[in-house]
Amino acid sequence: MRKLILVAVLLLIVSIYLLKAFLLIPAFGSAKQDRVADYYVENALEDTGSANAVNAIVWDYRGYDTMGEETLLFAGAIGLLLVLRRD
Amino acid sequence: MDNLVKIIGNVLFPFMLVFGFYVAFHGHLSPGGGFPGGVIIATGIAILVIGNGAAAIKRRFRDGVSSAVKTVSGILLISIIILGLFFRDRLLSTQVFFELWSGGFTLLLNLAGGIMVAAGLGLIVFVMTEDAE
Repeated sequence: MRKLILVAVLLLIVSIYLLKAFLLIPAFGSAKQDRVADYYVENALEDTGSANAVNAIVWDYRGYDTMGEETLLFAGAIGLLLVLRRD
Repeated sequence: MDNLVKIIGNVLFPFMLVFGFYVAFHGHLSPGGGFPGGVIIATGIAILVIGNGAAAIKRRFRDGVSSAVKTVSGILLISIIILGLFFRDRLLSTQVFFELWSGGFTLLLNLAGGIMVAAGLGLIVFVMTEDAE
């Protein structure tokens, strides 16, 4: 019972913050908070030297994300090796 | 498997290898990059395995080699990212935009990531086809 109350209170708190975040979303078709995308398009070549803006974002601006992604792939391969290999 | 698949796969494999490395190398200039390039190389390995059977391929590429390549390229990737913190600006200042040798350290990361994706997916293909014989 106490656990249930704890879970309910936690859910309430999380839902209040989620609702607050939801109310901050711009209305459909009027995204004015998209400044970072404009920055990437305008400055990717000078910042990273990469002519391909997508590649500049994936491997340079968001390099640590991509490193984590590669780590996930690595972990997936190792997990498959563990599960499927008999010896 | 069918003879047709085997012959066409064997003919196609070197071209797929070259094309995968091309896509990984030119990731900073044209659409593509490390992930698609690595996936193309791994698809070539998968076509070889489908045509020739896993046992025949494994005599050539042992999967110990594949996992070693994966580990080494992962270490390479992480060390390039850490080195990039210090050498990025110097690397950028020596390069001409839109040449092959450009892209700061995205070029190096594309290569390391492409090799890592190819080795990882190749390892997955090897493991999953092992018992199919």
